[in-house]
Amino acid sequence: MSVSTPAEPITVLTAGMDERKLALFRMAFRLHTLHRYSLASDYPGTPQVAIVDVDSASGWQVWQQYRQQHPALPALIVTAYPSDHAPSLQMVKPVRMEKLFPLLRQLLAAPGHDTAVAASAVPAAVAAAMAPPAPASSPAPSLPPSLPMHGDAAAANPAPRSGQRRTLQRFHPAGTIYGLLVAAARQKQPQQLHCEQRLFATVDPVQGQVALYTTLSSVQQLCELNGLRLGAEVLAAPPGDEPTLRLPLPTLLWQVALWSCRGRLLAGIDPDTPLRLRQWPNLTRLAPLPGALRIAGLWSRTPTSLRVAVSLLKMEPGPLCNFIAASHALGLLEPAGKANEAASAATRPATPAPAPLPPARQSLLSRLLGRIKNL
Amino acid sequence: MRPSDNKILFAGPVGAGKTTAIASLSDIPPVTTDATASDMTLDRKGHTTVALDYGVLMLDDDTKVHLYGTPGQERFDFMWDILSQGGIGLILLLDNTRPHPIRDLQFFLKAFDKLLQDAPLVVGITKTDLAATPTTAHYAGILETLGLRPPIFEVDARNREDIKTLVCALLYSIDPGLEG
Repeated sequence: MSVSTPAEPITVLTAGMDERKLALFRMAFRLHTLHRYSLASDYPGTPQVAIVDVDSASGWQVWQQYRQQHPALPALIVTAYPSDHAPSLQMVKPVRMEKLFPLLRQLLAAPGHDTAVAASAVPAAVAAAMAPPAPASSPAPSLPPSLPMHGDAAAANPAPRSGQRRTLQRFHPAGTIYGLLVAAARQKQPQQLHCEQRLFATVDPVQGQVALYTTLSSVQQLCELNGLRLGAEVLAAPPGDEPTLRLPLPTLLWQVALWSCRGRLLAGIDPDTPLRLRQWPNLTRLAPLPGALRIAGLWSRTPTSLRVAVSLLKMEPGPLCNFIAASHALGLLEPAGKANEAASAATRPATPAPAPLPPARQSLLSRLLGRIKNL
Repeated sequence: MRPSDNKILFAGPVGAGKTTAIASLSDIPPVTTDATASDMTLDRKGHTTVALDYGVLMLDDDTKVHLYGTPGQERFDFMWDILSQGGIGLILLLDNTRPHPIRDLQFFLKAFDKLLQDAPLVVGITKTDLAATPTTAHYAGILETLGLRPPIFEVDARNREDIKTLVCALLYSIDPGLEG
């Protein structure tokens, strides 16, 4: 199969994807500059390659149906749970652009790799491996089981079953929009940021302002990608183009952290390292995060590790991990090391660990909290 | 705890939004003792609270939480200690458009120093749409030098959700494990 010229989009058929996933690939294709790719749903060309997501509710049935309908079309399988017996090339999620396009080119150049042309059925080993999905077997930290959830975090995060161990996924900021913005926010001069060789934003860390040259929905989609080609330089002169949106830098940092982290623990943070908030985030002007008030209440008064916080607050680790990434982005989180202890000692005595309230007092405050929430 | 001890104090300079904040939470029409502004407040409000605001939150038939708005004028400072006794905490509203909001902060911290030894503080900064500075970070820096790390939020006193957030933050400052 010949590769299309840059003027003709390479039409990519998709299967097993909802609108959110399609938007992700649409964004990736838009950013790719070497070849033009287009989703089959957007461009009426004959598909030359396909991407099949087998992590939807239908699982590997999607692959079977796809192969029956398109027995000769080479396809890339995307999954979070790769198999040694996959019937075609696989790409392990999260979708990384530096892997996606070489794999697509490989399929286009040598479509014979697709071993499933004559075997539409899913290999038994694959089916066994995929249902139900197995957790990743990385050396990620795990947390002990916690008590059932309660409070404002419960609505967004169902409680784990008793005895269930949870493995924390790691979030690595390198090559992400989050990493780009956090690095820019730490600079002393205005920065011009590029993503995939296009102007993405200008950031003024001193004034705490950012000008976006793309839409917020595009930013959200970019936050799901790793391995982006990113660049930053000191802003010498304002760009000629008008920005799409101007907004406070903390607002964007917080939101990008939530879009990017998605319950994963920020790389470099140990679950057993005590953390402390230097300052409460301005939560009335930031994107909602379940349990943020409770988490801030704990970490502002008592250095506590993630592991202990999960136990004390009886919360799932996801919102806590999101809070860590978001408050780190704002420069509000610090490990409770000796230097900080010395600084605290120079001021008012450190706030003691929360002592249990008398039951009557706790009852009153709980009822008051419930009353306020229901106003 | 005596029933009268269930109180939340709202303090802050004239025009910071204490009356409005209490009205947004109270189960009864707030009792407000307004009068024509005196010389020290004339430029900011035609009417101002000269004694106090009062509202109440009913938790059940027998349990009330009293909401007091303390006067912004210094000549009523004799009332602050009385109102402070047994308070759940202090919500300090600061008007960012005033000439010296940092001085206002320091003034009220000193005025309620006794209460703040045992009860939590929450700071709400109002009118930041009209005056962006001092920022919450500026206020936090001042408070940090005093060994305080209270919640500091930008708020619109007319926005009930903002005021609810202040009160929830106050309660979680006492006990992050509270279930509501």
